[in-house]
Amino acid sequence: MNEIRNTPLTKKELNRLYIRYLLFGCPGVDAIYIQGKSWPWWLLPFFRLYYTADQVKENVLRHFTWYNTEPIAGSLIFGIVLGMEEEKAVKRNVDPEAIVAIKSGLMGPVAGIGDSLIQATLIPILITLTVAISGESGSIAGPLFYIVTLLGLILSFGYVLFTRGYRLGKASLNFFSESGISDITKSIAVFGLIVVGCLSANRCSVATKLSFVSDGEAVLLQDMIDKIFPNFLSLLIILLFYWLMKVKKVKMQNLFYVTMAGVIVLSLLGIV
Amino acid sequence: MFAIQCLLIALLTTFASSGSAPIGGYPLKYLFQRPFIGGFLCGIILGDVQKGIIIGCAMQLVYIGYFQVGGVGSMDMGIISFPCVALAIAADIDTTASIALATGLATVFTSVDYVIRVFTAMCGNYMKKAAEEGNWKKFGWFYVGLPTIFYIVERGIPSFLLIYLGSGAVESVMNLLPPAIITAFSAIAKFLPAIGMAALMGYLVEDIWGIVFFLFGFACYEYLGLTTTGIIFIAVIVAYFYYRTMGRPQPSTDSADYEEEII
Repeated sequence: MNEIRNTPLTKKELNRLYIRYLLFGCPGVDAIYIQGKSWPWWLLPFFRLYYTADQVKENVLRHFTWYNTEPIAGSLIFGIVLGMEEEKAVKRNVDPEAIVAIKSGLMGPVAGIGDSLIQATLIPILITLTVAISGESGSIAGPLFYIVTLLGLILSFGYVLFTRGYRLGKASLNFFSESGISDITKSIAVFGLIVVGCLSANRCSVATKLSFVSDGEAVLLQDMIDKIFPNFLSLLIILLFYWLMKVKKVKMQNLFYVTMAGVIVLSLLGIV
Repeated sequence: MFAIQCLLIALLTTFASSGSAPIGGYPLKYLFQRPFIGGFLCGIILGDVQKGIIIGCAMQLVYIGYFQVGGVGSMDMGIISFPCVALAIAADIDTTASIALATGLATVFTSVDYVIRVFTAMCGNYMKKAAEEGNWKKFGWFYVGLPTIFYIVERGIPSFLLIYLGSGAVESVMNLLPPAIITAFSAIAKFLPAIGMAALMGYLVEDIWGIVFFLFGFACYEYLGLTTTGIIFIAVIVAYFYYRTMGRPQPSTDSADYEEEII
């Protein structure tokens, strides 16, 4: 049986928890929790340090929530939550609801930043450099350069975010209650939205194969649309999916299966 | 000997899953979902590193813009990076043909991945049960072990067969599928990124005006031809101004008058 301890985590324990976070980052992404079932696993050794066996169960079960973000930038959230959990364990004055709220409030902006900075900016630059180094010669310098630079950058970035987040989380009681944080997350959301808009235009290419006859010639409907608003159908589809998920509360996994089935039907009918 | 090489590559494919690697998480995922890393590692296994890297780089250029946004991607890059690159190295097919094969397989596997997510969702419920019992070994097994087995069945075994039997066998299986189904799979690949984008948008939009910023980004790409890197600079500036102008009292006196009238 563990003794109840009331000292903060040591540097070594913090690093161990962060390594656990990185090494066991969301295996088995699933349709219900996406990455959410990773939280109880990441925090399990922490709970075992501070709580009795029954309380560990209770705390672990509390962390099964829907969660989806970019985990390198998400180190920030892990840091904040760990800081808050530690305050909760030591001083017993943090509302568990606040921890869940932080997780679900930050995952969106953080995913927007992580996806746009790491996946859409850093990695393509590194890929271009690697291909420039080894594309013709096939030397191992290129892949080694990619491995070293990528790991060096994302691990140090993640670690800095984690330690900052941990300090933020410990100071959370007076920090997150101020309106200042919501102004910041709202501005980050604006940044994220613009980048996601650009990414959507870049990545989605929904097109129709419908055509109609005009002056004896077959005219593709898609060409007509592209002249007025390029890629308009993708925009409509994204807005439709957004409306279904946000307003109609359709679950993401159901949307997947309906889309897959629907597109097969539409494709067999020759519409898309 | 060749079977062992195939087995090693199949193991690497399991770890290059598009959900996330069973061990190694996202750092490993960002490494393994690149065809030149696949070419490098498969080259070491198959004994021709230089050729592996050249093929890997050629394949990478085609798929440079493919990554998962909001956890949803249209191409399973792990399938391209390991079995497809290995096949190109081992069977000496030219790059164009292997790109055609890789694109087809990666699209099919993206759809298979969403079927697997239904099975991995069961692991979550088992984890909950194990937690209620306080059985942490079982808890860890359902967290890492069982999903790995699903990935071995989903990705490891097919990619082993793919490399071992060679592209001829794959093509004959692919030829059995009616062409309409193949077209349908590529149409699905065009629709799926929209779900990830819509999900990300769902987290970010607080009120209806958030959609305006999304439209702004969309139009910047379509009309101004900005790249996703270029848009970051504009987005930072807009976000900064948004922050500066938010939550301040209205400078005009009208609003104050209006409030008094209500009172």
